[in-house]
Amino acid sequence: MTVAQQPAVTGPTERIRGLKERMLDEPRYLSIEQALIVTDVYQAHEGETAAVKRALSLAEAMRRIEIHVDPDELIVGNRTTGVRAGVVFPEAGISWIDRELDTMSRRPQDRFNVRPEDAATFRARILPYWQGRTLEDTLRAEDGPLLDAIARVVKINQKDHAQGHICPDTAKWIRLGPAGIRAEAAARAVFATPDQREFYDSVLIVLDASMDFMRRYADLAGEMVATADSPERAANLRETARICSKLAEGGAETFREAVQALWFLFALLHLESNASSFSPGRADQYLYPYYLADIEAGRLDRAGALELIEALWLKFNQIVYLRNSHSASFFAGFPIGFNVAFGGRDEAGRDESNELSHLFLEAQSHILLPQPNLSARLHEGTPDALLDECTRVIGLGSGMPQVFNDESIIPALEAQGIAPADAVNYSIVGCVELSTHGNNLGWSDAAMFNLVKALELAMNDGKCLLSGAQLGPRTGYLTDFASYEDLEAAFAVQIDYFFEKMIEACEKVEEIHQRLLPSAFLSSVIDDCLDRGLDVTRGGAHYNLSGIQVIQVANVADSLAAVKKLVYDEGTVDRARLVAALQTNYEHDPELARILINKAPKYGNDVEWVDAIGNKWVHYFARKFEGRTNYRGGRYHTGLYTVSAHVPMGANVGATPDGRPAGAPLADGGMSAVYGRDRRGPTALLSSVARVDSYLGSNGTLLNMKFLPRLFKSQEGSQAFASMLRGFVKLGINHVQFNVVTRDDLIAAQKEPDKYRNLTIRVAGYTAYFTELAEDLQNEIIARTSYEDS
Amino acid sequence: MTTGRVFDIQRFSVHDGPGIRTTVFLKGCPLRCRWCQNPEGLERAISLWHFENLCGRTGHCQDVCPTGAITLTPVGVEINHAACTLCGDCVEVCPNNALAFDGRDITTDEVLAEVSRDAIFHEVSGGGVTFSGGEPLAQPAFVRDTAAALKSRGLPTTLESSFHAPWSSIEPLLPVIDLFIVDVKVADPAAHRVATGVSNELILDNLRRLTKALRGEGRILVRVPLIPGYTATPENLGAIADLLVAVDPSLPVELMNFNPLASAKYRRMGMAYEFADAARAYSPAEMAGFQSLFAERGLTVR
Repeated sequence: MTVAQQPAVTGPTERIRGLKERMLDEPRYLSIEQALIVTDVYQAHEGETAAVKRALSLAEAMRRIEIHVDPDELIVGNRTTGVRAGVVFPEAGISWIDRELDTMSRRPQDRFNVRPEDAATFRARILPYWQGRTLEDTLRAEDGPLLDAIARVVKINQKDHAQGHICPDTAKWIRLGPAGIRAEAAARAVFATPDQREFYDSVLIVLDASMDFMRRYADLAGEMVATADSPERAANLRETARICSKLAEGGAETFREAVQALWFLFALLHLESNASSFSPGRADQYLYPYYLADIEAGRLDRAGALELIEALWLKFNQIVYLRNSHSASFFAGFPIGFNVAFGGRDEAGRDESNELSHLFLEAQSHILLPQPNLSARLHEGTPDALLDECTRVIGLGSGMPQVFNDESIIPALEAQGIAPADAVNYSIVGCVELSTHGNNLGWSDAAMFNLVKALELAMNDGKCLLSGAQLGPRTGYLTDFASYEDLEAAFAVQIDYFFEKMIEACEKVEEIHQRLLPSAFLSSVIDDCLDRGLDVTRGGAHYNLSGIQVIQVANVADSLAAVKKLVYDEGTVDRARLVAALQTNYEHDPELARILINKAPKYGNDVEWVDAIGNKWVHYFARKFEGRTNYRGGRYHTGLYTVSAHVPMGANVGATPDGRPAGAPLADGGMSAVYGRDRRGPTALLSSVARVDSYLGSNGTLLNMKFLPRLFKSQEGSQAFASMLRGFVKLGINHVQFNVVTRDDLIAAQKEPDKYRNLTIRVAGYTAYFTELAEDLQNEIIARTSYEDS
Repeated sequence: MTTGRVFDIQRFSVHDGPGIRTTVFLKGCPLRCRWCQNPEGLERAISLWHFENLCGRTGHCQDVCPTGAITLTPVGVEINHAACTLCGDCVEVCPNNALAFDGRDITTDEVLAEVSRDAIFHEVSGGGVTFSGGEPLAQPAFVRDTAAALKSRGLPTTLESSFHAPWSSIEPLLPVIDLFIVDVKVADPAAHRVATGVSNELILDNLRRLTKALRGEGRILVRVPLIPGYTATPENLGAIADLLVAVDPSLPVELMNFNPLASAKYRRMGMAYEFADAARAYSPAEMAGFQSLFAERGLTVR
């Protein structure tokens, strides 16, 4: 193993630093500007189809929304003049905005300021038109009872916003520009069938307008040259004007042009569909030819390229996504997911990382903001230098890059019918969801299925422990089950019941998206929509997957392992005692909770039979999709992640036999062990995780691990970490991300020890759990940590 | 099959030899270093321990004890160690895991099974197994047999020891241990006795023999723990450096910064610890000062 390369410790340029400061200083506001334009267009074209109204309103927005250029910006473009605005997107949902308008500035998570005049205008002009016409209202009117009936077990997503989690064909967009793609669409339109005519017309409308959008930036930057306060700024504005003007008419040639083209695409995608996560994907691959050409021609040096990348990284932080407060609790902290992947291998196993992969990491170490969501694709042949640089940046504590494993993901995608060439070129969309590049509507977050809740119902005759309501079929109480197999049978019946209803609900949601939210612009950058003359919402994409998340391996494994061992195998816990304790949340029998926690083995400790229980039920669930297709004709597949949803989903589950009290969060992540229950260190946790078959996580998986910054301070610590990542690749785990905890984390750990119970620290000749140390010692470590880590 | 007594087997060990290691901590030690970081490794005998901070005061331990060795008191639990037969009933019944043994007996095969769990990590990191303690050389047959079995499976082995043991315990390890980490603490024999309870003559003699046997193979690392008032003085470190130069100037030396955190373990075990409040880790500048004492004598130090 080579010694970690130390890149030049320079930090961002003055220009980047200034842009970043100004961006972070700016408050977040709700924006209704686009909503007003869209409302006007819809009202003026009442008789038209949704596709035409959508195209015309998007075109109008591209031509009319106010635009802004900062004279220091190397990369320009946004969908609002302010940064990080919460854009109201009336087509998808308006009722929730009305309900939450007055609390949006002080809700617990992801706040936005609301100008009083905007609130008034919203209620006077936007709300009255849209009530009853939105995706949200239509779904509620047509399918409300179905969604409500399953809500405690299945959370159906995509109910009040347009579809995101998409990786467009950015390479093609950069190469051809809107003009080139328009020419392709126009040529195909010549042969359009009557069914296809409207689609092609819509595409032409929005691509024409996107050229105008770029020209407006060219004009604005050009006008600003005269008033620029320095020759450098004037030169920069002239260059911006030149590039925007060029991109309106054709493809990019230089690196800066390519980066600008990329950003225009993503700003426009967000303008069309205010959705969570459009992801650039493997930008180090498709930007590399432009970089190389510039370097070879002497037009650009490494530092100049880095500054452009950092300018793009800042842009990724300027668009956030307005969620309702419920959704914000599930996906806290604006995870809009400009997911950029780097590294990876080709079909022959050859490494594909390049100089841009390293520059992306360097940019990340300078910017340290939430976006982009930077994802390393590791494989057997990842060079030591890249792995060591990943280790260094992870050690900085921004939680990035997160790490993906080509060796398990590529076969997992192929098992879902993805062609080898597409599987090997996979990207990540949003947080951890897996997708092919530029040809997939992956519908990654169709639903989350709470297996833990289904298990609760299986032990309590189908009745909710929290409300007493009869939610599922009456399959008996735990006291009725003479054997562990009887319990398993009841669990299966509960899963089956909610599974069928979930499928029905998913189909309804897709049908209404199709009806109300055709997306011509997105369709123009997703293969095979133009070929087939079919909108992406109607199944125009080459791949049409739907992802369902299975929640949550650790709690299911721990609960069933405790019941199997203590109730059925050893008989030390009586069935009636357990049911009574679950029904009363352990209030009269706290000792039983301790027994369940301490006397049964837990997932995450490399105990084969416990891990196998988790795997068994994910299998059971995943196999139910065999032979089924979704509303667009594609496959369903499963994912194992919750992002931050383990908290609200846990709030909805009563006491569980893993000793967890009612309402407490579930295990975090998706693949993680329950807080503090993994006690045998990182390699034992990884060994457990590897026992859940990775191909069951083809929609994405999430494993969180925490380390102290100290590990990264020594050469042997950094090398051990890098080696651990190699082990992760060999074990065939799809994903891992790291929290490198700081002094603040340790203080929080002191206050909330339950949440940090698996945080380990090297104490003497051994490693101990931080929260098990006495308070004075913890204080010592905290004091020392601030010394060592300052 | 050989059986040994351990107080812990730790996975993902990164400071006890190259790569990611599994460290086997053997129980029992002939030394009594005042700063011992692993006091549970001192005694060879296994004891029952009660952890007050975990205790839920259920009284189940008292109820279940067949010999009446456990008494629930208003402030805790009293264990009559003379009466305790180590049957483990109380450990089994305590819902809070507040009672535990401080060691267990384990066979070579069981160690191999535990080690093999991290085979992938050993392989990718060039890591392996480290025998530490306690004093591993106090259980020479177990270390020898286990190390031989590990070697035959291609796993790199490290021994971390005080080297206070007869040469006859060390010599058979030469073919089965890849790296010997030798703790050298105090140069002066009398001062060594004050600090550790034994003189250092045997230790230094062993170091000379080992150096002779393995000359030029790069299989020895000298470690010097920096303990305020005992080892971390310019006089002592200078004397150690002189001594090492005389033995073999090519010996690499690693200085181990003082780690004040063992005090918690002592507290938890109800044992006195003279460094409880005193000390802190040495600053990078102080460490550099200590290192220079070795470097200026031509030794490779870090």
